[in-house]
Amino acid sequence: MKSALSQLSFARPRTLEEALTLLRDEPLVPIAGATDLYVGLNFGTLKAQRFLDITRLEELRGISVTGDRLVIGAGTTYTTIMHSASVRAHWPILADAASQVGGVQIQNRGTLGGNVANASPAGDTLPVLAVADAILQLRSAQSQRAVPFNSFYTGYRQTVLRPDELIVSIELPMVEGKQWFRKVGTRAAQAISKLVMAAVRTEAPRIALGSVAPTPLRLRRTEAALAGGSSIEDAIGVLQTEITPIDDLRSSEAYRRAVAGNLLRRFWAS
Amino acid sequence: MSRARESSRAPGAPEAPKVIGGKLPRIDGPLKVSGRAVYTSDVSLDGMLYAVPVPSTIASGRIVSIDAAAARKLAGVRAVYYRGNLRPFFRSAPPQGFSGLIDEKRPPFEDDVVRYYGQYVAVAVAQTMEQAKAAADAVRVRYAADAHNVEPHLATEKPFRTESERGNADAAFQSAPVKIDQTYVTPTEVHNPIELHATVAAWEGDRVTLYETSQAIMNHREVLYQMLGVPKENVRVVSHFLGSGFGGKLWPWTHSILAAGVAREVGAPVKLVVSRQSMFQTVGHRPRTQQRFRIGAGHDGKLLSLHHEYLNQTSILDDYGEDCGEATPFMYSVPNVRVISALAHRNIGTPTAMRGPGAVPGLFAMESAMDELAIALNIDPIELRRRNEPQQDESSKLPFSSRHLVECMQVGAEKFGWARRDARVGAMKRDGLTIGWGMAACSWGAMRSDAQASVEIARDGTVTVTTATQDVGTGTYTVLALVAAEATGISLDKIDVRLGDTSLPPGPISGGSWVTASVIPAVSNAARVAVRSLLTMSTTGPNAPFAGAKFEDLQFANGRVSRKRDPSTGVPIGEVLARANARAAVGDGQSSTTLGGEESKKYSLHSYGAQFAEVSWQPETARLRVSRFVSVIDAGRMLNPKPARNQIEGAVVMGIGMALFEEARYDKRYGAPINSNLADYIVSTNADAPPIDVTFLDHPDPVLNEFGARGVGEIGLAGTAAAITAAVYHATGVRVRELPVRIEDLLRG
Ligand SMILES: Cc1cc2nc3c(=O)[nH]c(=O)nc-3n(C[C@H](O)[C@H](O)[C@H](O)COP(=O)(O)OP(=O)(O)OC[C@H]3O[C@@H](n4cnc5c(N)ncnc54)[C@H](O)[C@@H]3O)c2cc1C
Repeated sequence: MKSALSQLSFARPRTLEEALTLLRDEPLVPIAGATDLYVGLNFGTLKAQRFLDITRLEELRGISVTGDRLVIGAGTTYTTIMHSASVRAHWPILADAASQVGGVQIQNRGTLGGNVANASPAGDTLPVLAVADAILQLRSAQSQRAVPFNSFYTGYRQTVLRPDELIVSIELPMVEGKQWFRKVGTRAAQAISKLVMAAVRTEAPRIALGSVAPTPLRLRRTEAALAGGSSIEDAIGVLQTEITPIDDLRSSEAYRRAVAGNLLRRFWAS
Repeated sequence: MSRARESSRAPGAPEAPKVIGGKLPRIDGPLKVSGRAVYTSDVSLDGMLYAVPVPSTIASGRIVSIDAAAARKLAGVRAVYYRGNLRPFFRSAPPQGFSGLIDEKRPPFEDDVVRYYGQYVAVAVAQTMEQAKAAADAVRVRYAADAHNVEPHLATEKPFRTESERGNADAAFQSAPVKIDQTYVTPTEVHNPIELHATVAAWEGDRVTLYETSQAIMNHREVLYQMLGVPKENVRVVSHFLGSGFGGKLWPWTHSILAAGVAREVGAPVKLVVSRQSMFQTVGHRPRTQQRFRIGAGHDGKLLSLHHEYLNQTSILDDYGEDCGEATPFMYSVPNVRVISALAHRNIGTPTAMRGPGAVPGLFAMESAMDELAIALNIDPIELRRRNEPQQDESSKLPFSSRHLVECMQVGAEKFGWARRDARVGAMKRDGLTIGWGMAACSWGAMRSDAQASVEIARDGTVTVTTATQDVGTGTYTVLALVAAEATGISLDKIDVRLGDTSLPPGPISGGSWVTASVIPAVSNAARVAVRSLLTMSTTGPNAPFAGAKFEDLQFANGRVSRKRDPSTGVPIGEVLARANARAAVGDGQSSTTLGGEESKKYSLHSYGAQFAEVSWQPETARLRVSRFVSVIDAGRMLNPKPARNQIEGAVVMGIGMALFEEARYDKRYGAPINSNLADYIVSTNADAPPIDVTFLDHPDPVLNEFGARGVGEIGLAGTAAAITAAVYHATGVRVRELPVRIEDLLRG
């Protein structure tokens, strides 16, 4: 049974401290842009009735460069990311990914932290964060911890985030080398990815794929093969052993396998 | 080119204001973009309650029990109705012409049988929409489920029905030197207008006003008065603005009857808005079609035989036929034709007309087969069609009222740059992409239906045009204002067009692309009569300003009546009417249907067009985009080219959806449409719309009406998918005969 909207309520803290205290005292579901959350409510898959509006928290907003890291507040929208000179300078493929999410309305509301926390294997920014070896700054009323993005997901739509924690920021260490990003969806906008790939051409290449496994996937063994001088065809063979795509409404396993291989070839030739 | 303007002008009217043929934006545009246009679901009445239906969760079986006790206890809930506690509805009598039409004929709650997933089995009424939704969710229904059938492959046990036949198609096919024999499939498509279907029902005694999302208010009244069992004059249907319908809002659906019934029972106005999910189940769809198309031809490309054998899905109770063979008998010159059809009953809701019903799926099959024939013969597809251009409609043996298909193809080829086409598969490249080009011809019937209209010229010089048709977003308000301006010489800003209310003079349905052709003669006649009545008042009566003058010697221009020979004698409308002690000069006009009329006995009435598509394809991901489109349309004279172009552009974007994205898929286990939302049922977005070049040939149709105008609402969708799949073949070598194209199937190696 779906929750009637009139039965829902939410708290609207003004500061991060206040928000974390509320979260400590009661299990509340954070709301950022609500672009995933509202779909869940409407489909009846999200049962929660008490929410925490985190859109007013200054501490979750903004983009800065700190030392060798690009730091992005979890509440930063795709529109802000797309237009940020710092993002374009250091992680242009994050701007690319942001500009291919949904449509303009979704880009205006949806946040990077929401994409991470929502934990969909098809999240478009997630392969970028995977190849960036991003660090997630998580906070609760009691503690603060830094979790590597690549150990954040533990299974299909499961993460190490505790109910009393918020993602505060996402840090992307800078990297040398050519960055590469491709999203393949059914239509030109508002498309859930059939497949999404991010890669960086450094001495040790970094490659990540979305929509080919229960979580966004960093292809460590494929990377090692390429770094070790394997032929691209051999590397594609390794890639095939790392991914576990499925047939679903959006695409087929066969397509995802073939295109993952083709994209790796295209990346490597670029 | 001859201009019908002269004849349309009121007697004595001045040089026409030249509004017709211009580029007038919709006059209701400002209301819409500012949010002031009141759509059906915006209607809010005092004491109004909300109704939310309970959809069945099985696709076939029986209702064993309904327990609404928990639902009734929820906050704000006023009532829960189901079979047994709601006054039963009647069935309406069979239709007469285009009046009294309904596709799902069984009234809600007529029996305990469930025949499709989502069929309404109960309805909750509460003070707010959310309370009603919560109550609907809390109703417990127990079912005895039977096996359901939602099988996509279509088959029939009954013999096929012959739709059209001449010569001996089988024998001619057998002996033909070149043969094409393929089966083409179009999937279930859902109309998905952005505006949800909705009804607001308000009773006063035994009279009811229904605010409806309707493309056919007169028909709606005709059906509803019968189903509700009240006198016809007690039902008023209002639909001022529509957020589009595409045919899905032509005939009444069960929610409308339910809303009216529960409003009568609870004694308060009731609003019922159909959910997006239910719109995949209860308000019709274009049914799945499966069409075997055989062509026999000579090596010279001359067609010898066409054999079109098709099936479409329909519901368990209703026989909805998708007229896929509509264009087959007359499109090309061919001596032997056989068109046969059959239905396949499924536990799916009743289908209905969707933009270009019949012709759109039918032309996908025929034009795809023609493309395959062109390839088999190694003849250019335009040349193949040119060689088979008929001199007359060979099925009815009637001349065409106006047919310029060859010119459409020529103009299209020029605009598109067809001469530069390298016909080899995959031979054309650009920016690392493979380019494919394809074309298809198309047609859509031209018709006029009965219509009445009134025109009033008031003392302040304003004109009011009334007719009970409706503007479904296509520009009907605007085109009627243009016609009234043209016929009265009064400027557009003084013309008020009132539509969408059954208390006005009866107007036609907004379907079949015939509103414009039907209503404009009625409006221009009414306007002429109103002007004549003004001139008559100027010459007769004790205080008449031109007492004794012959009204033929007078003219009406710039809001003044004057002697033709001496315009300086002008008397303003207000004064003419005041002297006559009349509130207004009024005129009634009408037009009559072509159906069974003289024109349809003498002429074959159709519009034509040629569609050209370019696709770009990225081999390593199979990513496919339509990158360019040229559409050349022969639909008579364009009264207002700007919204007409919008219609073709919109149809092309919809055609891209039809070719590449749209399909409702049914879950074998539950019989429910799986992708019943706009995230998973994929329609084209703005980003999928390529540059679209639309050309109207603008040859007036001398038969259909004095303006020479036919309609343009549907033809833009016809042929579009076939042009796209032809382009896909050209790029990839993969012939897609079952829509939509899945890029998964285009990936090779
Ligand atoms: C029409 C449409 C199109 C879309 N297209 C795409 C697309 O192309 N690509 C794509 O990847 N996604 C797409 N999405 C999904 C969605 O927009 C993104 O995942 C977006 O990033 C979610 O962010 P949000 O701020 O709206 O999250 P919300 O919906 O507010 O929250 C999502 C989840 O994250 C949690 N959460 C949010 N912020 C935090 C935080 N700081 N700390 C802890 N938990 C948090 C929430 O509690 C919730 O569980 C689309 C969605 C829609 C409706």
